[in-house]
Amino acid sequence: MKGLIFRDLLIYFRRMNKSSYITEAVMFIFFLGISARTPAIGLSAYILLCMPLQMSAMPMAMKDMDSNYSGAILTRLMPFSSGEVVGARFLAAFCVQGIYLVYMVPFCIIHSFIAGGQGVLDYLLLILAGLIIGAFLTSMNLLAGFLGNINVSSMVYVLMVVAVAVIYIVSVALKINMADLVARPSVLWICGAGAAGAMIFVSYKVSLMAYRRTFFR
Amino acid sequence: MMDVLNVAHVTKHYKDFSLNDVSFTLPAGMILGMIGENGAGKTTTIKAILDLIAVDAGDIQIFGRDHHSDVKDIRQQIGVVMDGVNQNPFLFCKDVDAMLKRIYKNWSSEKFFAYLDRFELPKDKRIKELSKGMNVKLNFAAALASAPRLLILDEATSGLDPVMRDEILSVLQEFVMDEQNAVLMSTHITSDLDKIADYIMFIHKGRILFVRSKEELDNSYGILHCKKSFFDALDPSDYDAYIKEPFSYKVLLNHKFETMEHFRDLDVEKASIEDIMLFYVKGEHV
Repeated sequence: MKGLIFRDLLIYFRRMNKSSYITEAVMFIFFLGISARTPAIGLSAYILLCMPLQMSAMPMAMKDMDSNYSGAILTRLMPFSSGEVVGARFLAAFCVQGIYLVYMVPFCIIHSFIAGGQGVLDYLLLILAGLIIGAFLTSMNLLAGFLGNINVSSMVYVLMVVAVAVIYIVSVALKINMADLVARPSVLWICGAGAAGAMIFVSYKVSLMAYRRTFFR
Repeated sequence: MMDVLNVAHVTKHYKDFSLNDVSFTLPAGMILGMIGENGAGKTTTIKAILDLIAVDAGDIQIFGRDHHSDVKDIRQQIGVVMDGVNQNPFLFCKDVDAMLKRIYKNWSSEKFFAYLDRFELPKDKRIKELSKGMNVKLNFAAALASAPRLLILDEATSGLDPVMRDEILSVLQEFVMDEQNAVLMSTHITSDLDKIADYIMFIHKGRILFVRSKEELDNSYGILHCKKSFFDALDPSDYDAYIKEPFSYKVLLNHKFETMEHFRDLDVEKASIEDIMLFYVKGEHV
């Protein structure tokens, strides 16, 4: 399985060209520039929005490799079970997340020099939140990649919106004050981590079923 | 001699195509060539052997083990080269070694780079910069460096020039020389099979028409050009098929030496695998 993870990471990084790295650098500098004027917006936009989107791009890139460059057939010919193939893709995608710490940590360090006012723990929690959002988006993209069907993938996104709406309606019906919940950080952390964990679990199970159905007919 | 591959009564039904009761064995040290038209069932047979599709009925054993339940161990010992299935184009040739040595237990980097040298492939070039022929050679290097016992080739030599094809055929002959390994080879280039195959399997419309040794085909089949009067004098059991031409008949004799002995001074041509295939598909049968 290590071999499969290595293969996915090797292909992903070999696929990246100079322009990919230049784009990363430009975004890094751009958000630092914003941080100089509006520290909170620059920091949160980079760590909680830009980085999660970047780090969750791997599954779709690998999906392209699988369908357009015979990657899926080659994988099927290798000595691995379906569970190992799907599991390796998940682990490789989460490894990519870890690699994005290379951008997040220096960004926070430079930000602290430019803007100040934040403690080390604040930065660490923010990075952790970025990783949780990234894990959520990554597992959604992994699911879309294995389902390989744009309609089904869109359905997943729609279901997420519906879930948020349902939560809102339930909170109104039960007279739960959402503002009170949001004001308690521990609740937010539990909800965020819970949602990401549930998404990873569901995504893995459905991806495995989809993979078996697609390649063993 | 041990059977490397044993396929028994394999059946697979699709909406518009069925593979029906396919059975054959491939002994160690042999090269079995699969021939047949496009859509005859060659690739479906290969996919069934490789456990890429579930069969509806039948049994497939590779190295004496069930091809489905022992698939992980079996795949460690199978090399596969398929037309159009190449390594990722963004990788460098040397990356294939870095990647596959972590996947195949018996992978030999030494062997892989020796094949790269033998096939004159650059180590530091991206795969997307290689020609189709170079990609095929890289696929062979990758398949052979994992020290397989069974090599499965599906139209694998189609992108190669005649010189390189000849080189690959030599490699395949070396591969089976130790009497432990075997090759299952599906190809439209029947001249390759004329050169190296030990057995020929002919699939037509999802059924096996015959599995015979190359020697048997060479000694049995011959092509006779004759007039209608002579054709009428032949016993239908003397031939398998015939093609009616404007002023004559082309006949595929099935026991050419007996027929030649019976009718002296007959001019009987050697029947190549391609000839036999054409007679079976396009010819008229008795």
